Amino acid sequence: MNPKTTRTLVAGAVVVLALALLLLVRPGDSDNGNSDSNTDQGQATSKITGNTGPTQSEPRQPEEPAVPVYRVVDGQPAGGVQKLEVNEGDNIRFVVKSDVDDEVHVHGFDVSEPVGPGRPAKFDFKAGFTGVFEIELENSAVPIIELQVNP
Amino acid sequence: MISVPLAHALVSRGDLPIPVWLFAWGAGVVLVVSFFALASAWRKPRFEDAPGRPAATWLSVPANSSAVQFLSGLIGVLLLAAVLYAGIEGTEAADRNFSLTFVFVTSWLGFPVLSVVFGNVFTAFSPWRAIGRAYGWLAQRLAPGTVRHVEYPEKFGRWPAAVGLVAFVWLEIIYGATGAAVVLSPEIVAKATILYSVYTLVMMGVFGVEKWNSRGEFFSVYFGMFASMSSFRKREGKLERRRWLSGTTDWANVPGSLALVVSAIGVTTFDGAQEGALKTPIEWTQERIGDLGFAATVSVRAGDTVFLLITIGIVALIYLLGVKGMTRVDAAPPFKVLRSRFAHTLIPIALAYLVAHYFSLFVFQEQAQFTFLLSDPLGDGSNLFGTATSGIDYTLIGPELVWYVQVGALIAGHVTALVLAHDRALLIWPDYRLATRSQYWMLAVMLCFTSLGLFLLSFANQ
Repeated sequence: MNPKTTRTLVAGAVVVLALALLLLVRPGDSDNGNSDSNTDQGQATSKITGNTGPTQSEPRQPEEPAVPVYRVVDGQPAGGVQKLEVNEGDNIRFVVKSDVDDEVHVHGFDVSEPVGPGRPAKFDFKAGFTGVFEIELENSAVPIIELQVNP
Repeated sequence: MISVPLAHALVSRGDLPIPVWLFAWGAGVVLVVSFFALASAWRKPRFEDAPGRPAATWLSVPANSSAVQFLSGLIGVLLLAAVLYAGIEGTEAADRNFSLTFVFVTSWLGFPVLSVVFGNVFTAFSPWRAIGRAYGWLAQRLAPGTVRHVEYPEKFGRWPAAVGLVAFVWLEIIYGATGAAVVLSPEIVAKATILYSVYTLVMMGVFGVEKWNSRGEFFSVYFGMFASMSSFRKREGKLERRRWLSGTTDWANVPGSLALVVSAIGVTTFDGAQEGALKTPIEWTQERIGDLGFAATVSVRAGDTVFLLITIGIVALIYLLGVKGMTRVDAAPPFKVLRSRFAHTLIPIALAYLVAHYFSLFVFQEQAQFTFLLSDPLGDGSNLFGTATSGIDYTLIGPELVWYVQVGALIAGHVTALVLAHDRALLIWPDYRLATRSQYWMLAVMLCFTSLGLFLLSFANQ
């Protein structure tokens, strides 16, 4: 075999090896820290007991966690667009309070709730799939929350 | 602070960033591949001047037949009419109207992929080319000899198409997504389509249908760029097959080609960075422009536009620095010559960026296109084919698949670009060692683009 062919073969082998390793070694879990296993347990428990309470990504407490509240002031999100991160399969729970009348729309999941002064929009739905989704005031098209559903 | 809605009127679901481990693997593979590409490559050009041979009869007969050409042209014209009708008569809700998804997703993202595989199929479906040809045929019948064209100034080359490409993307992601309440509306799309159609038909009348189609009509020119990678091409009305990628080698001989491919990479980069890495500087600029007393919508658009142009400029700069480096190699042609001689090596990068950024959007939006947007194109509650109630299944592809496609596309684009650059270097420097030396520079260019591509999709661009 001439040296060029050898080198080509070696190059090919290295690439194949690298790709094979890539597929085999998919740590994934290590990056998400220990929160994953907790979540799974939490989900399992809530299914068995029929508890509709939200599952948590942090170490579980006996009490229900506080449901995050987002405020809209003068038609704009207070403090800019907020980030809400949950894991796939969790229940997504949050409340939007607004001083203007509008409709809060969760893209992708396509859930909407009317909102207005003294009439907060309450959400509670399952994060059935992953992705990054905009939550906006539908009529004025102002984004208020960026929802990220992690696998 | 000014808040800006999601860049695309259509996007409901954004991709999750590529996780750290995959990012590291992707970057590692790219590095390994690059070093071996330098060490173990071939020593005679393989893609330059690859001869074409007639395609198989079962392919060439239908492709060459005038009935098929007439039919595909008619389909194109009907679809153009559908876009206009749905845009004007249909709902103003962008995601419920046939026209937006059809123009910006089905056509804009679908034809590049089709072109890479089958050649420039858009030419057959182009409604403007079809109308232009029909008009020419009719004029020839009614008043022979009256159709005269002005000679197209070749120094303009593909520049009109490059400008058209940037304008189209500007309409989609800047004009269409700015201000507190402005989203790209189907009506604006319809109006822009009418405007562009009139412009295109006039230009075809002046310079000739095929001439304008290959230089200024940016859909055809842009899709044609990707089609040059395909092994199919049409020459003198006949379908030919040739070695895959060999068509790219003479693609950039026309002036303005570099501008087109650089713009193609630049607009995708901007789209990926505007809500991540560039978000803060863009907002800062928008506020400064707002301070000057401009309305919110104007300052948002102006700020975005500035950064769109800066991004295209940076892409151009990366490439031109690499070319500048190559001029230092012994026996190198001058900068101006080298600049266009390597432009075609960026086509795979442009394709990789497109696939990496829009793969999931395409998969999800096409479900809409072929279900409710087909049955209820106007969004008025009709149900033509019984699929109006189906929606988009977001569980169809998981995040892992999206990540693998993204990283895979970038790596494949990187390798293909290096292959083309190496091949071209062998033609310019018959001395193998000099050719290899020149390719350290192109390797640096491609590494920049591939790492930039990885970065845009990663956790770091949040």
